[in-house]
Amino acid sequence: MAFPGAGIAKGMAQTFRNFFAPKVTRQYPEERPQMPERWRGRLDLIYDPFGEHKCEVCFQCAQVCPVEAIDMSGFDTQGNRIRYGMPEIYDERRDPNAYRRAGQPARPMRNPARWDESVDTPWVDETVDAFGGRPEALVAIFRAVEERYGYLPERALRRISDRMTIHWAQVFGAAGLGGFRLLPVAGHVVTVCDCAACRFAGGPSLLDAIRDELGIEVGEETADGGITLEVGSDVGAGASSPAIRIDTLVYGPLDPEKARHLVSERRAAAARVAEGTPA
Amino acid sequence: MASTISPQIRILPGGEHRLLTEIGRVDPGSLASFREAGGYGGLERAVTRLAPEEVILEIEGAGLRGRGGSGFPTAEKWRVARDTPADRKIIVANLMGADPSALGDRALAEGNPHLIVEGLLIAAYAAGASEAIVAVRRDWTDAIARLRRATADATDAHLAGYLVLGTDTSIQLSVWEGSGAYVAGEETALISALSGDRGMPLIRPPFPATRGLHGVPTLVQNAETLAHVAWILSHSSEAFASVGTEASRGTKLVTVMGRVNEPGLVEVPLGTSIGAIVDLAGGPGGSAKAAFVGGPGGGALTAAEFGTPYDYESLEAAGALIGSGALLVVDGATCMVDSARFFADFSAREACGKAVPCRIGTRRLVEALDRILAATPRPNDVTLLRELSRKIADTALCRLERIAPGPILTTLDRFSDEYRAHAERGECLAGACQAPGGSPLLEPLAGLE
Repeated sequence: MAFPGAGIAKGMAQTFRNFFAPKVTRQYPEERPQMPERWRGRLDLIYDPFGEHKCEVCFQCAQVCPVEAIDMSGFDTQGNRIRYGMPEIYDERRDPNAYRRAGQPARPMRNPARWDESVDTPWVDETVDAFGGRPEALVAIFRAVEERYGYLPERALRRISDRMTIHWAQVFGAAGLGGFRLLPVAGHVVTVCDCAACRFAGGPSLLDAIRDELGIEVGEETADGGITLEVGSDVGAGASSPAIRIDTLVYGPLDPEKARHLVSERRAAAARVAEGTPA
Repeated sequence: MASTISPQIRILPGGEHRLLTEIGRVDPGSLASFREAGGYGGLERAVTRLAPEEVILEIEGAGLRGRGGSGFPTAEKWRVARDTPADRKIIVANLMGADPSALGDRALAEGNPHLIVEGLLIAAYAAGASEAIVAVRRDWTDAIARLRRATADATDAHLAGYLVLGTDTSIQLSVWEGSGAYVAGEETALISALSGDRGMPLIRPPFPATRGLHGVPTLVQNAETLAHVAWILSHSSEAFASVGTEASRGTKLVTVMGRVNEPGLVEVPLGTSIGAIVDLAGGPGGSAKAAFVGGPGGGALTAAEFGTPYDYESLEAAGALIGSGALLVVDGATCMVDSARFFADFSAREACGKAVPCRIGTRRLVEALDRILAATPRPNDVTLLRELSRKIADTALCRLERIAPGPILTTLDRFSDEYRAHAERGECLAGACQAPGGSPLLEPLAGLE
């Protein structure tokens, strides 16, 4: 049905219809359309010109959402898996089959979040109550929980949030910004200090030696699960720099050979314990 | 009792020991031991014989300025809190140890916790605060245990709690832990953390002294400042002001580290030259090239500038700061561009994410430095570093953000030849970096003089 001028005629028809239609000016800020009470606009994740999500998973939106309607799951800028939401919802996405169904190769999670974590909730309640439920005690409570479980299980955080009537997003945010572990960690944790003192006293050479000794990169665990390697500026090396921390003990000042020796000793000890032979 | 503090904290002899005198001599776990050494004499004098205003006048006479880095006159801050009408006021001792390599606060907390508690109680009395909180970094477990013990003992001995020393003053003491992040030491971030929220800074005004924790006037004071308060009240303001310069009086704990023969903690009068402080730490190991003064947000001074007096004004004029009291000496084998990148990267990693200039701006600074280090700079990268640094400082939400570009700006000014060699020839003058070499730039880099 194409003949010259059809498009113009169609367009002008619309123009004429609007020309004779009644004119309405809605005085927007004074007169507002009828909207549900909680309506805050449509949520949309925006993309950058390269097609990547611009969302940085900073959780700020989840924190301000008054009805806790926003949950999140994804990878942070360091590539760690983080999630923020009910395990029963996100279980599906963690399942490698979900990747396969989405046409992506199934891949193992770098940090598989444990959703089947069992948490002694009465104990968590007791810990909270021991501090009188005061908000100042939040970090002290986190430290007690981390001491017992090695990390802060999500269920424990949920319980703390409920018990202290502090918003879940605030509890989660305080735990994350406070540098607490949110995922379980394997074996002994070797932390190489990268504070200014260590860095300029030869810290990088310690890291190279340990990386070489264990054959893993920072953030990884050895194949036998005995040792996890990390870098942190909170070791508190002070005048003993360069230093490393194994679990809670600080060793320093070290040279690369000593560091290598210390780490291999610890690894061998961990292996002996795993086999059940007395150390 | 030399083993009373962690082995990582080495206290060096020399300088002018005031706060450090008793460390190793008193038993940090015993109130009696501290009182034998004359402890709580200052509190007793303040509470029983002086009016709060007189205490403030005494501190003013001593000319004490905040040792947490800002250098704000302590008496003035107390007066604002005192003059704000409120039923309830809170004072917080800041032991968050923002800069992980500075040792001063940790040494005091582990070696002589009662000194901090005494200063805190005096400050609470002067400012009219009924609640005093000690906020300690969570990884300092020994310090936490000792401060808990110290506050409990002080309360049992009626030095705190209800009716202090039989007067009608009441000050409730408590010790809480705070997260170990860099930003957590910022005073408004500390207040957010204590109210059960994320430890992120808040916009000012309202200043915490008028509206802080739980919405009441809150005074946040560094532990070292409080220890000085206790010292002033138990000695005298004249004795305190006997050393130092006209504008910066008293002593300061300085952590000397890097390429020195004896890294550790020294206490020196303000105004001591940087060279003299380095000599107290056994002198530089090898030939010193420069010193980063003030921690992650401090500035670099060349070895030729080691005559600069260590006080608030002189350092600020030179582009550095007192900051966390850290003094890092580097030698000729250290690349200054890479060092600037290290500090910028620390600031970027520790950014809490609240303010955009800090969260994104510091990241962009690191990226520009990375391009220079890789000898693939954009022609305007140096101009970008300068402009962005200025904008970050201008639009900063908190002080830590404002000072974050310090190491970059000072190294750009003083070591422009190293930047030039890296950017234009891909060569590291210090021989420290694995510089890519080759591929000279077609046009010279703008912005380097």
